[in-house]
Amino acid sequence: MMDPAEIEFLAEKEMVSVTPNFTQEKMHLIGGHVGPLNPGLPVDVPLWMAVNLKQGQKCRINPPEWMDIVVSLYISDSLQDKKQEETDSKFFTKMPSKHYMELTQILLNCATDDIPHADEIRTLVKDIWDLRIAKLRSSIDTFLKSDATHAK
Amino acid sequence: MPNTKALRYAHSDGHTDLCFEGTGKYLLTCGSDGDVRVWEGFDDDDAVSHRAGDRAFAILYNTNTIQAHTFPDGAPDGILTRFTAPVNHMVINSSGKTLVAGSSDFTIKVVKVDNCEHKSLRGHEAPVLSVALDPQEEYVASSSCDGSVVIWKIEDQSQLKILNILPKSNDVSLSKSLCRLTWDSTGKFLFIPVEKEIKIFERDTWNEVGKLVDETVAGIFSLAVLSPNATQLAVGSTDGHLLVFDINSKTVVERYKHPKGFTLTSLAWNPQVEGQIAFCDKEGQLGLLEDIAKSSSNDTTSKSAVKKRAKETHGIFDDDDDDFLLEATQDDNEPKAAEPMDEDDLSNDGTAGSKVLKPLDDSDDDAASSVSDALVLPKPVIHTETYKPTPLQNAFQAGSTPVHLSSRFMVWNSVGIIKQYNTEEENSIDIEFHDTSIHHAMHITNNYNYTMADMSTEAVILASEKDDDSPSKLTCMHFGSWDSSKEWTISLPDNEEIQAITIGEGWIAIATDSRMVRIITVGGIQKQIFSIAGPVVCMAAHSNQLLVVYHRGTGIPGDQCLGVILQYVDGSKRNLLNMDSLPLSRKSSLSWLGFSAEGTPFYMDSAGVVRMLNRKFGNNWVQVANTKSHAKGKSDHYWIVGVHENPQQLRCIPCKGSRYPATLPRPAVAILPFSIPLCELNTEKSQYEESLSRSQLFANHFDHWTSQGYEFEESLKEEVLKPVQESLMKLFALSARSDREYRALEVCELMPDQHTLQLAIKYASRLKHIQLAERISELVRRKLEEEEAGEEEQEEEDPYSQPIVERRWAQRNGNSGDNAEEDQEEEQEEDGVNQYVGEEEVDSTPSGPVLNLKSSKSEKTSKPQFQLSGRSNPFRVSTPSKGTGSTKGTQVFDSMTRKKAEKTTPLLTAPTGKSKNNSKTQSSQAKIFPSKKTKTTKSENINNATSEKIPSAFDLWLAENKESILEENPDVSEEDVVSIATEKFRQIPKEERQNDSQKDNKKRKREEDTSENKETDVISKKKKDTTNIKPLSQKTNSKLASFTFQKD
Repeated sequence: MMDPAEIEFLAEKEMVSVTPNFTQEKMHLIGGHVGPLNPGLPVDVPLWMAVNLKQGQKCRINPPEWMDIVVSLYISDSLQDKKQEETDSKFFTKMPSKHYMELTQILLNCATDDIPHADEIRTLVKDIWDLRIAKLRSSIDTFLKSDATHAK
Repeated sequence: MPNTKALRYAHSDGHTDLCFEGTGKYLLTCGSDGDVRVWEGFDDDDAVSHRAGDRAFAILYNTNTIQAHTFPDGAPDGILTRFTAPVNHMVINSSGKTLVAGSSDFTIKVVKVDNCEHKSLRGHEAPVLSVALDPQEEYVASSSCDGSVVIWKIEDQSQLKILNILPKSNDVSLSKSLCRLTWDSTGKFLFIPVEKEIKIFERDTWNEVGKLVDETVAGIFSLAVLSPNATQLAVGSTDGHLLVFDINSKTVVERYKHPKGFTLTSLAWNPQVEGQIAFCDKEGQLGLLEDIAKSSSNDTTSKSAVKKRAKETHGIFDDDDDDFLLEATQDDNEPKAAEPMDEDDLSNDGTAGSKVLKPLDDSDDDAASSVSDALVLPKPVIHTETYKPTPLQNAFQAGSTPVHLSSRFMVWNSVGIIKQYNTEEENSIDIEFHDTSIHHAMHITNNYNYTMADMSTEAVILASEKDDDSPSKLTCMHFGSWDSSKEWTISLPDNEEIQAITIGEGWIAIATDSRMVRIITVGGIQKQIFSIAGPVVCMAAHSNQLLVVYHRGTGIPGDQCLGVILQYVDGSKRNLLNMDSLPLSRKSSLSWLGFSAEGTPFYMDSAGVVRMLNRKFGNNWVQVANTKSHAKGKSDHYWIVGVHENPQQLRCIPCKGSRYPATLPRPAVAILPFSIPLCELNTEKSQYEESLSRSQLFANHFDHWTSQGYEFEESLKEEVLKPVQESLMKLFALSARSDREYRALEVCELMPDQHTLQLAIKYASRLKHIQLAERISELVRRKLEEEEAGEEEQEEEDPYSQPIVERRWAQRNGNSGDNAEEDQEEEQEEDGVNQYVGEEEVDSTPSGPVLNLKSSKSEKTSKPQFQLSGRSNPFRVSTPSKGTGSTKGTQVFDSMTRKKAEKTTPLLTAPTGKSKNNSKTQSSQAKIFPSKKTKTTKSENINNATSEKIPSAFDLWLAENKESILEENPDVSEEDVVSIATEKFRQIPKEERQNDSQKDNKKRKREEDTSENKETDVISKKKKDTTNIKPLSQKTNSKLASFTFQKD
């Protein structure tokens, strides 16, 4: 059983794009190489580093593409669409990221100013989460009641 | 001429319908937005909106009920009737008692408004397009998407007549025509818009008795609405034409063309004000036509005379139809449109007895034209193809968005971003730096109304245009200054205005409308001033270079004609580009100008093509990217914010549907790759060529740096040039393999150093392209001579290239031995390198070395000029010049292994390159020795031992003593020499031999890893094992060697 802190820890390995405001050579870390960081140029860093830099006001976080409520022409999987898809589907749909919940949680905690429509995103992600939990619940419920060997 | 009012917005895009309120005072519209607006006259700016219909005139979409609303407060009165699908059209009789509605559910309902009694008419097989109620309330005519017009008898709801005259469609939205049919005021005729004509059908017989046509209309007639006085028919077409026909004369008395040609979706006559028609188009716009000509005959007596004749003409036909027409004319007491074609009528009289209306039709066209001459007075439009100069593009700041925006970027470059806010509450400027270590962000109020800005790591400059009361100003915020007064302002003369500014390293350039460029130091000293030959377009600066683009004149129609000056601001050097022209794509303008971070001029035109200055090729501009090819949509553009040559990055902001980004949300920078537009870029060859020329192009800045006296690390340049060598090798391999020998030689000529050439020779010979190999070695020789000749001058001349030259010297001196022994067989090359490696192999059997020697000997005979140095080398290296030799040796080795890996890639596998895996095969394993040797199996070691032929003490000894042996035995063959030598070597006391090798060993040990020594020891042992069992003869040896090669 993992508690939220552990899951968050795992999620912090996810890469997010940040725009740093300082120069830094390529860093060689256990988890892989990061950088080089050029001021004003977006670069992918692990989430933990992004949070750290953000807290030190050393970067601006560029929210992931899916973390957007606007239905755009090019990005078909905005959160609105995702929620709709999740509502329409009987089963779990594929989430935009493995750690969508944690990413949203962490990013919205530390970088609200960098993410447009932060409140709506928070609500939408929570909605999606609730939908999925509800599905899980009903699935378990039918499983127990139906006496089946496999949950559906 | 009708008096048109400008179109105004009524509803959002989509089908829009309208009608007049009974008094003609109010206009009601409804649109796809589901609202009904009540307009108090056309000019009412504050229309009352209701979320549904009006008294019963408007057509409702999105609700399947017909609601009655009281007028004018719009409260729902009640629901008249319901349908299962949207209602498409409805009409009400003159008394307002009976309403007929047609719906998409294929039914038509006839509703008594008072008691809501209704009769359904069923029979259509597709949505009903429109309905028309007979003024006598006996019939209903309806048109439907199934292509039919049906006449219904209301009483028994039966279909009296079905006319299949319309094109079929699936849905109202897909139907081109709305087919708004209409009855005349007496109900005697039914007007049906069909394709490009309005067909007229007669009551009861339902025969087609005539038609109204106008050939000037390209679209399909879709609407027909009778005027309140029943004399005119307004017709709307899908291409935006609105025609008013006189029913009697069947001529066009009025024509109007929608300015944008949008399809008209509804027409309505004002019931009270004569000659006023309101219309709506499919974009939800509302228009009004006033003073529709009733007739012109009031004005002139001659016309009334004509009119009389026309009346007489009508009188001739003693027919029911004509009676009607005549009646209508007389009843209305309206002068009719002139009918000048009475002669026609008369001439046709006899033949047209039964078809009374025919003559009128015949004369229709002429009549229409003559009438329009009289009434509409069209001005003849003469198209003259006069030359119109293309408007010159305005001056702009690179990296800025248009000035009219309330929040805009004044500049976005590689240093930072300056934003301007110009709203009612706020007039300010935000300055922020990408790198906060340069300076913190600033927020200043924009008191002087600055519109131009630029920034460097030293200072921010802001400039304002000329005002009525204040001159044009430049402000410099020199935050890099060490004194306390960091800001200064300078005003231009009253008659001069700043048009472009830019900041370099320690200086600022201002271009003004009096075609002057002023250069001011960053501290504020006015230093230089010069004139340019035309109005400035844009300026850019980098260190000491100033790039000015200006108008040279008017270009080819559609094109800009721009000139460019590249000026060194210190003035010491000649201008690189002086008043040259700036090439632009067809019909495009300049949209970005700047320098790369390395100092090469770049620009982008509005077609999205990025070009850079090629300083190595006559200072021409070469296209290096086409940002448009990366854009996803047609109207997407990229907005450049910076260019870097090393690494090759085009930093820009993708803008969806615009040319520039908005300040919010904060745009994200994307990186685009460069790509030189060579031909056939999908082929492997072109890809290598592209990579080659691109890497060469983007390495040009090093030479510029050198010429400007900047210092930089050589390793940096080598790093950048690495892809050049790589692509050259690949290109060579490709050409050689496809038997393009001449091309391969051309590639060789491009190769910069001896080393790659040597590899090329080997590669060629391995592919059995002997002629090619020979030609390459010839080329090598020529190059060597050239270089040697050129070196002495170079050494003194160019202090920058000296390090390279020296190194090359060293390389060549150290290498010449290798060169000599370089054979067509590739292991030779390892051999050369391994001269330093294998000395500890004391007791080795002669097998390896023998083969070795033999081949090197044959080489010597074929290339005598290398012989001497090659022979003397191995021992010389181990003596005084050991230092250089050893470093050289390892260097070659390093690059060797790298090169090998690369070289095998195109050879053995697809160009996608699985070189890593590939190198694990036995043969290549052998080549990558010694780094991989630890992993090799025993059998491989045997192979290794033979194929590598680590030179032994015997080798060295042989090299030294061969001459003497030859002298002693002048008539023996080569093989015999070796055998004799072997004998002799065995005779030498063991101590001496060991001495020899130990001496070498010590030297070796200082240079080589101990681990490597061990490995070689192991190998030599194994080799001994095998050789002890059965000493290999030369034959077997060569067989073995060829075996290893075949594996390659």
